[in-house]
Amino acid sequence: MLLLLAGCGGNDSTDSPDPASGNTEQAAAAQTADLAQVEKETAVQLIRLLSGEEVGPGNEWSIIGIAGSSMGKEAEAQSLFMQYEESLRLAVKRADGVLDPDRPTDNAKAAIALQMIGGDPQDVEGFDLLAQQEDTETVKAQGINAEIWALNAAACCGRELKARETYIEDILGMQLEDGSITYDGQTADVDITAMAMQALAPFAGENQQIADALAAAKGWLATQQHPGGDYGNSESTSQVVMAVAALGEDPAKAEDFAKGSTLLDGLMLYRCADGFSHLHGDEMDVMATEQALCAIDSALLAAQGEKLF
Amino acid sequence: MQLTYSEQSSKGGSQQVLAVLCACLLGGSTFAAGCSAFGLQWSPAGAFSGAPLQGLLSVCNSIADRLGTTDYIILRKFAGGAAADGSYHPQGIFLTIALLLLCVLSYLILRSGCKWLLLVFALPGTGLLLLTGAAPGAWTALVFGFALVCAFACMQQTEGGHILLLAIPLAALIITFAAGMLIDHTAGLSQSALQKQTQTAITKQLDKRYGKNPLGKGDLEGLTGESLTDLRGSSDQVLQLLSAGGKDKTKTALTLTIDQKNGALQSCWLRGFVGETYRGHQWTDLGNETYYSRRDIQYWLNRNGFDGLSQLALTAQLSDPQQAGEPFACTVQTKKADCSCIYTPYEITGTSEAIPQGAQNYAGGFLRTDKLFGTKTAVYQALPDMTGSWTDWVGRLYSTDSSPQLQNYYTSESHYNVWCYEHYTDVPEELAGTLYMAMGDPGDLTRDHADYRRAITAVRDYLDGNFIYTEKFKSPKKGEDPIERFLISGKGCDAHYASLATMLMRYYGIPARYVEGYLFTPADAAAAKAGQPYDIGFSHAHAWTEIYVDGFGWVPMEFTPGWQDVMPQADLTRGLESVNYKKQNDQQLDIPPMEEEEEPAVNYGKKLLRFLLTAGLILLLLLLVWILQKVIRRRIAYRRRMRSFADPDIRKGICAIYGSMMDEGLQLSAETVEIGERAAFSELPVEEDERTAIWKEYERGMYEKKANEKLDRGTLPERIAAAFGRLRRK
Repeated sequence: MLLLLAGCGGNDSTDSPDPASGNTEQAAAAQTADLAQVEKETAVQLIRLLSGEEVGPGNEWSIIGIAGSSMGKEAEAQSLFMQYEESLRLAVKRADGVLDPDRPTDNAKAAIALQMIGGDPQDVEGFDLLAQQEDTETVKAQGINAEIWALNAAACCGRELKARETYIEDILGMQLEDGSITYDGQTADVDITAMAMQALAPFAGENQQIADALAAAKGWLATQQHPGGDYGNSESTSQVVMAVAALGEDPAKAEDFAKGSTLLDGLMLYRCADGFSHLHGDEMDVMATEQALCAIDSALLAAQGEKLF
Repeated sequence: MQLTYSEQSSKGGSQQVLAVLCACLLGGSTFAAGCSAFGLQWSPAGAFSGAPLQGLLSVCNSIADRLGTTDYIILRKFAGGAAADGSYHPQGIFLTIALLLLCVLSYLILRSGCKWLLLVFALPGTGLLLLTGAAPGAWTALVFGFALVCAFACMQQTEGGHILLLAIPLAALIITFAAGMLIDHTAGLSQSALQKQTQTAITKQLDKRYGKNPLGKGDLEGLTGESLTDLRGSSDQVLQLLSAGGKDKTKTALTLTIDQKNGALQSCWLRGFVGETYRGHQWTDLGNETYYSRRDIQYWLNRNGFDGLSQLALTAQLSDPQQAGEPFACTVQTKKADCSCIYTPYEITGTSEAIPQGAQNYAGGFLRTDKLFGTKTAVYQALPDMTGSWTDWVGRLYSTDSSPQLQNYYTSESHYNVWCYEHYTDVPEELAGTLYMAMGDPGDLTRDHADYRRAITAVRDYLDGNFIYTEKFKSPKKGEDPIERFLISGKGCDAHYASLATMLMRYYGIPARYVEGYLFTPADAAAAKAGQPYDIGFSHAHAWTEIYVDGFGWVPMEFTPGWQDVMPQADLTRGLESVNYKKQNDQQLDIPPMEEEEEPAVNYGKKLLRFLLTAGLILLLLLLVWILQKVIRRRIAYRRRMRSFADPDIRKGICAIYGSMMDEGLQLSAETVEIGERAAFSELPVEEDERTAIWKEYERGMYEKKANEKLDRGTLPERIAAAFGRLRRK
């Protein structure tokens, strides 16, 4: 199991303790330490990757991942955050508060990223980034993922959307009998199911229907897990890790997802020398790396009873 | 004395011929270098043209024009040196005389044997090359260098020294230098590479000496957010200070003292560096040649009471003197700020005569110091703030009833107006397309510029909606234009905002300039006390745009977000509706054009006397240098002699004393001869007592010799006559 955690770019597996020895707590601590090391290395890799680029809207996953990591307080990360914030300010100013009129997810992601780096999403050059999330017509027009992101952004920024119930109902309406949640109402989708779980998780205590839906979705996801602990690609695995963490469970210990290999073991299958790949054995992929970092952040925070956003 | 030496060392006619040839070469090449540097007109065909005095004045005018054009050094010109159409009088006969005098001077210097005097030729040339833009052509410089080497070699040979030993390295040095100029010249560059490099080095040194400018004096390419923040502080800190006052932790840039007797103190913009044209990715001035060509008009405008620097105050006094208030003294003392700039409020009064001493007025656009160490203190008379309500003042001016004074003002203003439109409306071609994409069609600008209010509002809206202020802006890539970079990235500081706004105002056909200076804010005005110095820190440094309002003058415009609330802003909805410059222009057409008055008669005798005095002073200075080097050489020789007399080897010491006595032609006693001969030619021992005796004999002999010489030398007239006699014999 820890062999998988170490991955191709990780530490030598012979240095890791064996949980089969019976010393479970010690093994868990060592596993967390390894994960923290992977988080740090991945964050550094992303910072290096972005340092030569024009950081701005579009880099939200990276910003969220780095901000949630132990590297978030470092000077290099702070410099990136400042660049991102300035570019976002400019983009919002030039776009009169709406980054893309047809894609409310852009504003929602930017709001989360800005909140994570200490900005105020509700006053960017005088514009409220969450204002577009209240426009149910536009949000629904983009699809269920926009509704998911709207709920995520509002929860992250501590704001209660007027359209909250509408979005929750729409998401629940897309759940199939097997517990999965679909994008098109027909095809079960791991990513959408995991993302929807993240969006619904904050409301599980308020509504039994939501709690049941979350349990069903979780059950379906557990059935879809591969023997290696993954979901066929890095991004889907990352989303499931984040979904489990959003439910308040430690992805490294979640019983439903530990059939020989844990979710984190599955994620580490995609680790390569300079980040994470989309498919096992591929070259590094930026999106896979930034989502993996977010997943690792979530897992580490969940172990401490906290959430990423 | 030197002539005597030459006479003694003269070895024959061949040396005389060589000296004459070298003198001709040196004099001729110096003459050619001077003509080349100052653009003087001489040719063999016209060698005897014109009259000597007219030629002299014409040459003085040529030199004045050249220095004015290259370095904006303003020298008085002589009316007698130019024809009615402004062309120079022929300079032939005067220059021919000068050529002959130079040859004679060269000959006298060569015969004097004093190599130091060659500096008389070398120093002015080097000075011109290093300190001014007036430099001789490459070939002329090459020949001049060669002539100097020849002269040096000639003098060396006369002394009987090793010519090659000393002349070769000197020749190599000069030839390298001259060849460098030649290569540069053939490469087709306008100025020599050496001169450019020298000037760059000098500029860097001047920057160090004059002090730092946080915004880099219009150098957008070199401006970095780090250096700006280091000197000025972050924008949050700056804006907090400017708006609300408080303890300023930045270094004191200026100290302002306002001697206002009545009323509360008011804010003002202190204009320092003015970027008039955008060239090579940075704001610069228009160039000395342009200012110099403007000199005459500027002079007559000033005589007519008009100056671009004080136009606002003049219009206030013409339109509403009571509202304008009483002028008060305003003292700006430069501390750590760049003291090559003179910081002036927009409301200063007076013309060129009223500007601070040591300041040079650049065509009514800005003041700059011409002092070697900058100007630390400048005192003006100024009116209370007009820039915060300039639209009201424009309204008052345009609604003022016509009067002879007002008509006279508009006549002068029309000249300045034309100048402003000619020089401050250019947009670089590479930016014009981008501006068109950004702002759209500016409308028909063939008859008039865009409406002020429409243009200002459009520019402000565009900048507010599409750019953000940051000190973390990225420097342009190599070869990339900083303004274009700002347009693309949308991020920049006040220097970028002001630069782009200036271009945009020009795009709308309104004359505009880029300005760097300091803000004396309302918060500062509230904290300052009349008559007491008030410190203005680097935090108050700022860049802004100024536009020329027809008939009224230059007014500052704030386009940088955050700063727009710092200084009082004029209400654009008032005053401007009454602007009808064309109507004023029509009135102006009825007025006869301003005639250029004849320059007052020049007292040539006085001028000539001044010229001779200056020349005399220079000669005196050279004489002092010559005497000094003689004294030093004698002193060194004396010390060497004394050291050889006291040589630890008694025999050598005695030989040295004996040799010196013979060289000096002293009378030798038999005992002295015996000791000297014994020390020099025999192996018999010599004693210390004998050295002491012969040394005393030497000192006594020298004393007697000097006393005799004094008697022999006679009176001063006799000595002068003797000197002339020697010269004649030569």
